Amino acid sequence: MDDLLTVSDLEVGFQTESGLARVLDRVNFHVGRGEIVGLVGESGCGKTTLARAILGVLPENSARIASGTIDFDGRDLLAEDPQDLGTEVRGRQITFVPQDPFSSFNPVFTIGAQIEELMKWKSPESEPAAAARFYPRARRRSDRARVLDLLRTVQLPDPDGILKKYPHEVSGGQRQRLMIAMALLPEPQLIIADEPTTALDVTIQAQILKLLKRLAAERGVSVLFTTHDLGTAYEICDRITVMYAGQEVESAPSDDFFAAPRHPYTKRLLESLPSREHGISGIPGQIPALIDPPSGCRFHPRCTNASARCAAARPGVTQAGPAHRVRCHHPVDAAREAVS
Amino acid sequence: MMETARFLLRKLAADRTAALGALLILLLIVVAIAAPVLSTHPQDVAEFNPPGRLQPPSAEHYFGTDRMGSDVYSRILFGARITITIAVIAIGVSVLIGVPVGLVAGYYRNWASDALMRISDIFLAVPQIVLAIAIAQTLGPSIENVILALSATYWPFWARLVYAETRSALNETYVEASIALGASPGRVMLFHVLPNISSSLIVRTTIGMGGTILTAATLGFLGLGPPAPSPEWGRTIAESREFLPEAWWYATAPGLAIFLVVMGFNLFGDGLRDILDPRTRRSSDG
Amino acid sequence: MRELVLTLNRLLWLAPTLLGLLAITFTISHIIPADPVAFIAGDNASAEQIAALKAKFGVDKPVPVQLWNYVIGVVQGDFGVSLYTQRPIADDLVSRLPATLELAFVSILLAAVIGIPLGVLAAVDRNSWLDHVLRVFTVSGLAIAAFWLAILFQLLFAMELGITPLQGRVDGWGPDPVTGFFLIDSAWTGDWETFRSVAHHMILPAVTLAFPAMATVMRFTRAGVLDAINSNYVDYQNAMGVPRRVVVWRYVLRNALIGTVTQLGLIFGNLIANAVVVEAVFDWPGLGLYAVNSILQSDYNAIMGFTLIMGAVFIIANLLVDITHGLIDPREAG
Repeated sequence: MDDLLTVSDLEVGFQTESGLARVLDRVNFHVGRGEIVGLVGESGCGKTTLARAILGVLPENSARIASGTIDFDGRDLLAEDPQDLGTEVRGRQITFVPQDPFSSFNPVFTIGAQIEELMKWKSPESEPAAAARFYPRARRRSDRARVLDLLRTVQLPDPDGILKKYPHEVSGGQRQRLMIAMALLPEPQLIIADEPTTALDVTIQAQILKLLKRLAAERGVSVLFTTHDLGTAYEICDRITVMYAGQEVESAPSDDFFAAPRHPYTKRLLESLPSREHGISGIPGQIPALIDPPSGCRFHPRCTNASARCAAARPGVTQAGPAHRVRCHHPVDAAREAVS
Repeated sequence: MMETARFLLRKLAADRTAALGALLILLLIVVAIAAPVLSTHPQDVAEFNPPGRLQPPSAEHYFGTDRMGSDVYSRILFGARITITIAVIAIGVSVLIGVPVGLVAGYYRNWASDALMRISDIFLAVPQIVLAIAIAQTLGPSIENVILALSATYWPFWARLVYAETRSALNETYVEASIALGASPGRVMLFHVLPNISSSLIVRTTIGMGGTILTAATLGFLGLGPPAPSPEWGRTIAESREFLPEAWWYATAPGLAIFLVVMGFNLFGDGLRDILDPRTRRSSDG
Repeated sequence: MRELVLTLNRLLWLAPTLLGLLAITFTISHIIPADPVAFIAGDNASAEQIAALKAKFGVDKPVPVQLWNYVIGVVQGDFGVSLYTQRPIADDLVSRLPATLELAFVSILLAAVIGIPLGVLAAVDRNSWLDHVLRVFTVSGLAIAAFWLAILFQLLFAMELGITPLQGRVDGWGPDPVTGFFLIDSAWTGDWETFRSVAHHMILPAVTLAFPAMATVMRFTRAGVLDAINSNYVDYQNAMGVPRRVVVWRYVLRNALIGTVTQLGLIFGNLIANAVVVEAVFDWPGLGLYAVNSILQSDYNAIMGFTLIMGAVFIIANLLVDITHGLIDPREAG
């Protein structure tokens, strides 16, 4: 299948005061066309770094990309001129929904001004290469109609009024709806949503997620959705990839993933969800330090199935089902130990 | 306590500009103490040699001689004593007045605390130097009066600062809790509020030293400082003006001394702030 | 609305604050029963002459009565008569205020025009050689004594190089006073020769005053830009591919300047404090020079008047800063 996005053997480190932190270790990852993929893992597992690497906005002075490729719709994003990516890909073909809708708006400009600035550069009606110093009146008018239309689509009341407001004058839920609208406006192929609901009230989270899912499905846009919350991932994702300490460990269609996890870490993660059968249980041990990570499979110091092999070499990809891949030397026997 | 001190020292040594600041302050202290030993013509503070006036810098007179034929270098060293005396006492007095006023006014919410703060506001409504000029002018030129003028106009700054900090400290949960548990006002102020604001006070005092030295020098320059033949730096610059441009060293040397000392306190204060007062860290250095 | 209430509240406090300032300066000037009248009358004056002079200046009455009379006078715009110039102090102050304000405005403008772009450049190119050079510049700007800098400038540019006037405000009499701002008055009548002379005289004092102000402007602009650059909204714009130069010069600068504007009151305060000595060095006929001359003449009434007018200028400046802040920062409004 021709995937929209394929990340192969990506290795990224961060230069810190105490040495090089190996944040991504030969990660393989892909997003199909029109697919909603959840990238799940605990804080610090590298999911945000992966999302930012795809966007091409890793911190310039500290991040080091050691190896790997990011193939997006036939272009190798790591090989291209960052300047070109900024004008042609970022904000046009790949857009972004930030984690915190409160601080991602500039507090001193109206919402309308900020959306207009975005459309000035990223309107689907404009040529990417054309410098946007000049904003033609006709395009400005049609862009405005497009904006109002989309604000209605994301169920914002009184779109005209909202454009005149300042960010602090609208609620968190409304701001995130605006962010989703802004991500859809350039008509992208891929939306990267980095924990888009973490900063919101629980009651609003579900609405926002459903909205994102519906609009993406209607428009055939792929979504890469990072979260630390398995529950939200299950609600909206077609497929889920789990990361642990900078390594992807398992990737499966959502149903398969919950019904038959094959990696011991995934299994423990699912068990740690509060439920009637298990109560609340954690995973013993600590998330490893990325300055000096465990060799081989980074989960092995905490894994009950671990053997010497696990410390020696990182397991390759095992096909556990049609779209189910796992990287483990000792995968859990799905038939015997399935979580009901 | 020792641990904290050692931690501070290590941090400060790592910050090159703060270390430079500390060095300049240390230099000022050493010079002030050892002025009689370090100066080449210690007698020139009180004695004059008119035939040798206005000589350019030489091996005999590092910074030349002044209008009375005295050695400018030696007089600058003795001037350091005046500068440090004025700054330390003036800041000490204004802190000793301002901090208790701010604490009490911040702790109690009544008409008296409002009145105290209004009085502070009136003082702060004009630049310090303006009121200091008025006071020093009335009292007449002397070291004591400069100190008095500076303290009388500087305490409201500390009162305001401590007042605001006290009000916000009173909202801290642990302070509320200790009040609820029946701690006396004095206890709350001394053991909860004061330690909370001490690092901010230390930082402001250091930076305030620089500002006070500048203000004192300005008073000296206006003729409101210690009278002639005092080697006070501001006065020396004022005296030098009628001999410009020929006697350039006469005006340059004392100004350089002021500059280095103020710079020392400012650099050291910035360094302290980065370490002690992390809230403002980003705005000082990014 | 809230902004309006706050502004009105501050305006209401203007009068009591000035009254308090008046009481404080009056108290100060009566700490010591100095006898300036005797100073004026001279050693050979008879007792009658001294008594007449005392009556003329109103110093023959008890201190509370003097204070009351003084307050009544000030409310009516009467600050008393200068012991030295023998003219009404209010007239002296009003005629000298424009010279000080003109100098202050030009200096602030200079500080902003140079300080803001440099502050942005230092932040954008953080830790570059430019940033380090500018930091040294900032630290020195705040450590240098204004009167010393003024003298150094005189020494170098006026005495050694001879490319600027040594002191004064203009060659000759200056333009006919309309606003009292010589630059405006001379430009208004198209007298460009005078305009050039005024501008030429203004260079050294304005640069001297602008130097520390510029250091403060630069410092706060740099800090504000850095804060903004590290903010989430800049990260978002970057992730959406909006060009960096647009983000920095359009978005970030506006946010950073709000922080700089809040510091304008402080900058202005330092500036007029420095103006006292800088005017004295450059013989600039403003309030500062007037105050210094009054000091030399032990002219208490004049010094009190100077203090009061400085207080008024400073309070009004701070009020304007607050209003401006409310206008440019939408978070303040509503």
